[in-house]
Amino acid sequence: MKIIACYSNKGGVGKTATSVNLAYACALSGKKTLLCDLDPQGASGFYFRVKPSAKLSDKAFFKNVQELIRAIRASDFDNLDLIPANLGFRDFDIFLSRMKNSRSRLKKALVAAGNDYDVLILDCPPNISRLSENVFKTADKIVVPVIPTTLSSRTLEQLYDFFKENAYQKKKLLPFFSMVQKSKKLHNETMTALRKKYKNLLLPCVPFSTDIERMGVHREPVFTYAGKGAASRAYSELWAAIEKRAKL
Amino acid sequence: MEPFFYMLKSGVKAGDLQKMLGKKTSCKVVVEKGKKFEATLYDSFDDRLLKNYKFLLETEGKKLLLDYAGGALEDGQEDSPDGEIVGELEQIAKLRAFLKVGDIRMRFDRGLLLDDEQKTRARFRHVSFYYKDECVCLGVTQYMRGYQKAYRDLIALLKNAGAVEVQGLDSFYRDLGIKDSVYELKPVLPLNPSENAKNTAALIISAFLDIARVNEPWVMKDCDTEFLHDYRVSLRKVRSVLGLFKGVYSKEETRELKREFGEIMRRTNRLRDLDVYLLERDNYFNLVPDTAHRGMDILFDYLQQKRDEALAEVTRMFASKTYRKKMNQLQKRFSRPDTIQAGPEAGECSRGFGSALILKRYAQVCRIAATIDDSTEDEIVHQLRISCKKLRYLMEFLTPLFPSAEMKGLIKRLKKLQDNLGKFNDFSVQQNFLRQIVLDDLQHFNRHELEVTEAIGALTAMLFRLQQKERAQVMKNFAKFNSEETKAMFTALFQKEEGA
Repeated sequence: MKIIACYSNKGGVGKTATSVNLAYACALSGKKTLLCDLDPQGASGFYFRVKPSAKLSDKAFFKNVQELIRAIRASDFDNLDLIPANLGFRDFDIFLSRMKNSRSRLKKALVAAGNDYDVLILDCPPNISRLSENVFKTADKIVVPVIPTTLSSRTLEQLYDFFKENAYQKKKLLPFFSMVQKSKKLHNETMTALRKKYKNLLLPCVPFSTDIERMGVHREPVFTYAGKGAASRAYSELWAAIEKRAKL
Repeated sequence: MEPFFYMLKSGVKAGDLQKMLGKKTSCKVVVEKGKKFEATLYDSFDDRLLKNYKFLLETEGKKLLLDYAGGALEDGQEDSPDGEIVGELEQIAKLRAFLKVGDIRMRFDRGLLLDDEQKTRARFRHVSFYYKDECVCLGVTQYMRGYQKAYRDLIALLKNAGAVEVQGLDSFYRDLGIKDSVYELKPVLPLNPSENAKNTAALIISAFLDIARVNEPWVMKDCDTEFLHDYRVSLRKVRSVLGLFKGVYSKEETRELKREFGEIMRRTNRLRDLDVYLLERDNYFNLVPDTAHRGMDILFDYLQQKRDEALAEVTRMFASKTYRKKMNQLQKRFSRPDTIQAGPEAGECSRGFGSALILKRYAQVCRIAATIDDSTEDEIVHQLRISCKKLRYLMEFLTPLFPSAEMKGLIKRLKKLQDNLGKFNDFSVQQNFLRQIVLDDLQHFNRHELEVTEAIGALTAMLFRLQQKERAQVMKNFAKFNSEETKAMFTALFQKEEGA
């Protein structure tokens, strides 16, 4: 089982859209996939029309494997299941900080619950917290959506610094450009600059696309209603690149 | 959660299911109806595909093998490559032809149970088969992880709509009105333990005579070689009953009946021998060196030609008035047993009589086996084979009179030994057959006598080796069969009945 996290310490960069579409692409390739929504807003579950799992408390998530397994829901697509989030997940940090070995708790829970699956995809909340540190330790690869703007570049830099300071493996980080608008000069310049700086940056870019924005209306991965569009193509290419790097 | 395989004797309408779901729920049933299409349905004569939950279809020139047990009830399946289908069919019934069952219409439907957010909570799909005015629907549900309650609700809903759990598809063709009866080579007969032995014998003979006769037109059509095989097996069983149920009919009557059936069977011997040879063709080629293949080709061309002649002869016999009259007469006699002269044991109670016969035969098998060691003549091994076969037939005929599980267990044990003895015999018969060709038929291989003789020599040598291999297994297999447990089972099952 491989764990791929979708993470950014900045909000609004397309994390959930990325998680949902990568999970779909992964399942489509025949791998048994579990998308785990760690963001208390529960947007991943929303996109798959799966209701929040009211019963799954933070305590149960980390301490009761059976409860966590019971919270797994099938999506409408083959090979793709979900653990939907609920608002209780907002207390993960407090809960984790009270636990012993608080940085490896997530791994323990996910390995126990997800051993039926080939790939686990984590949709993470946008902050640097105890939960994020669990993600950094647990994930085999961390996919980081980066909008090619000054602010996003700064956030990525902060993330690399944090990894360095805390001795996390930097090679786990797989940043890629998200919400790219090639017509914007700033986007192009930033992309050129960042590619020089971060050799790990994945080549495929996901464009800014109304198809992706419409996911909220369709409540489905973009592949299902705009399969031939640029966004679907981009996610397919992105997943192929991740598969290669993660040796899936 | 296990899939629920169901059968419905009518189509399924989403509206009806929705009504049954009631107003309290926010769930919704959606049925995506497929397009109705015409198809030709195929199966073997003995419905092997149906028994394996499979349907072979031809539609618009495409062949499709539906696997109901695997839940593969999908529309728009790609035409499976012929080789793949042939491979699967061979696994199910290698020697049987797949004949047209009928022209039908079909439709694949998919159903969903949706919640108030349009999320699918449970699925079902089914295929509707239409034949004339009848419709039978076969379906299967699909559980979606995390939605146990919805899944249970869906099954309850389908049951409410008349869905019945599929235990077997034996009645499927009948339900669809496409075929009246199910062909069974080994039927379970409705025997009565307290019925007299004469009537029981007549009932068994009658049943096997009927089975033999069902096969006649198909032998003539030459659809596959199993028709003749089944015909002969059934008649052999008829003869066995006559021989085994000693004293049930008068001596003269028994002798005459055995002679008559023997004569009929004898006239099909040649065709069956040739069938066996031709079916083994590929195996035989693999047994001999490449240098013998040319001679084998000539030999098999000759055997094929002889087989065509033998088939013509059997066909002539089946079509003849004399044969039909004789068979009709025999059928009539056994359906009215009072027309057959009774013997001294006629009035014996079937179960007690049967028990004694089985025990006696079992003792005979043990007696012969006790004399066999590595140096015993083949003739004695043949006797053991014949004795085992008779014991097996007896037990099969009389299964309905005894506890079924125990009988099946004993028959299974016996079967392993019989397989061994059967192969030993087959290899011996095949060598004799080849020897006969060298002795009688060489002049037919004009200018190729040497090649054919060489091929026959090579093949005979291999068959002899295979026969020896089987021979070496006989003692071991008998010891396996005749364990203390087997002995105890025979005694427990039949001893108390003896003389009852």
